[in-house]
Amino acid sequence: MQLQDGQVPIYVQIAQWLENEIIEQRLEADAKVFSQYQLAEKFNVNPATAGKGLTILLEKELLYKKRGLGMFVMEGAREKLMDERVQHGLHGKVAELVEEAQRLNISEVQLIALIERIFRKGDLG
Amino acid sequence: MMSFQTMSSNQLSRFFIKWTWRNNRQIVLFTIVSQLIALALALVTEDQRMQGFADFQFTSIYYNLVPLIVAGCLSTMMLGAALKQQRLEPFQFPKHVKQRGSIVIAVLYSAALTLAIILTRYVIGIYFLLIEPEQTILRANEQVWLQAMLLFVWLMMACILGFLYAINKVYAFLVCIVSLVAMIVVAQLFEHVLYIGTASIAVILAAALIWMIRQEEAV
Amino acid sequence: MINCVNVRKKFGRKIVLDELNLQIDEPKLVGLVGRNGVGKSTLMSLLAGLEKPTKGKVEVLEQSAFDNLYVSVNSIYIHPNMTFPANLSLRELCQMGAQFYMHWDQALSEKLFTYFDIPLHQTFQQLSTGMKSMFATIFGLATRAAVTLLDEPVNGIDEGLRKDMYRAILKEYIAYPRLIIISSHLLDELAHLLEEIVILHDGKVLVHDNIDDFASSHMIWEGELSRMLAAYPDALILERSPFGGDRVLVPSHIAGDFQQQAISAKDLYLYLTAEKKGSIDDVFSNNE
Repeated sequence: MQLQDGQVPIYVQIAQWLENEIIEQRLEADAKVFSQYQLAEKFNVNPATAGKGLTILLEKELLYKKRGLGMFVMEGAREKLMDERVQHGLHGKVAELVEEAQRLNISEVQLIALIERIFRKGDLG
Repeated sequence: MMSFQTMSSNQLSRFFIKWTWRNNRQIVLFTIVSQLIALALALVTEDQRMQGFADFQFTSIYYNLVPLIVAGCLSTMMLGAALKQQRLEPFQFPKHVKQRGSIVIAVLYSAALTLAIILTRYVIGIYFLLIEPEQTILRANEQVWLQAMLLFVWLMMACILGFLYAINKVYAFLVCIVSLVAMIVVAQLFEHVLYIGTASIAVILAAALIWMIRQEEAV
Repeated sequence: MINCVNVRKKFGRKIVLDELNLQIDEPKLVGLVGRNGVGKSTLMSLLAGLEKPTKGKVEVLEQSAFDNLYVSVNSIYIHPNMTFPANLSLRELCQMGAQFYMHWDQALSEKLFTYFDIPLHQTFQQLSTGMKSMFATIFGLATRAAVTLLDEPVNGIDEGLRKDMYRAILKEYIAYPRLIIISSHLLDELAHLLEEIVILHDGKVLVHDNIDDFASSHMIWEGELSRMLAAYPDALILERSPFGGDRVLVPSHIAGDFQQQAISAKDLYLYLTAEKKGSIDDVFSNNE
């Protein structure tokens, strides 16, 4: 599997990939997650680097460790992640949208109308 | 999960000897070929083929053995040089293992070659016994052990010379010259040139060896 | 597993390593980098027990490395310009390896030799440079030695095969962990393999760190030079772009209202060890 070089460190990319697996429900609650060695082989990186990716999720309490057995997906991990995406991801995007609208002198009412129109039409273009 | 291992000094020595031997097979080849050539030379240059083997006198033995001895010395000289120069990279050996192993190889090789050359005389003798039984008397010389010792010492000295040559060619030539001078001096002063001459050259070579090894280590 | 304390190594009057300290306690994949001639190979020789330090101590597996039987049988040092015994075929060299290293992995070596098309009936001298490297590196991996020192393991190997070799090193390391120190000038190709990086500079260890932490320890600012220098006077000037976007290198914790960019381990290493004052352009400029 190829990882992009550049801005984001590899272990962060791995963490993001794992979060995606959880969101897409390919990794369900209480399912066993890949070990750092398996991830290392899969992504062609050092196991310690892969381990750092796992640690990120462990610290975010999306995974839990069972001594001697490995790491497992926490109950409610998917919900947590969805929340996060909304909170930071979507929130950020909306903030940007509002800023842009203000710059172009579009009022709140006009913006909401625009959003409603796009929702209804499904016209995202 | 990581694996460590231990090996005894003896195991390592055996490994060193075995693979030094295998890595220098061409010297064995050279030895066999040169001995055969020397043997042919000895037989061909024998003036009195009919009478030359009448009895194994000391002097006639040495006359005929000279090609064989020279070939033998060349072989051990090559061995000495090879022992100095070779490195069984990437395998590493502590210094004492290398030294011990080299000495064992040199001694065993010289001993085997001595035995081979001494026995060759008897083989030739038996050959002539078969073709000229009336004229040939096969008699073991009483001094055969002494001659064997002498030959062994000469082969070892050649080995040491080869070793010195591999350390430093110039020094090796100097040592040669000193040895020749010593030989001449001994010939003037003493009767038993061979034994005393051999002993003095042996001392010179041993001293040179120790000195040059110390020099190398100092670097 | 490795402990270098105040190591100094002189060759004649030239001091190559000076007050070098390095400690690695566990098996890992470590990259050793440094400019040409800085002493990487010297350090590896010392660790392999081939040379003795002029001063200081070099301990491997808790024993003094030089002329040490235990260290010899638990380490392997592969480097360019090495020569295997001249009169033995590659197959016989593998026999030697199996007899010297009791954990020798014959199956792995055979499969890798087949994969890389290495002719086992030939002698080492008969191989091309690339093949020599491939053989030597595979040999090194097959020993499973606790301390594996690989100096330029992909020297002369084609790019496509280099990737395969890195993968082989990684998979072997995962299967049988050991301390593998790889010295290479191709850090960008290697970086994904490594856990830690050691940078040699001026005869000492300049950096010894986790490679990700190292790369993220600094960042690049892009903007107007005088403003950036005002914000952080110690910034390292990287580039004076003709388009007006100057770039400087600053530690990551410095706050600044400039466009930020991450830096790769290799680039950071190059900037930190840059010897020259000024750039190649100064050679051609007539004004200054």
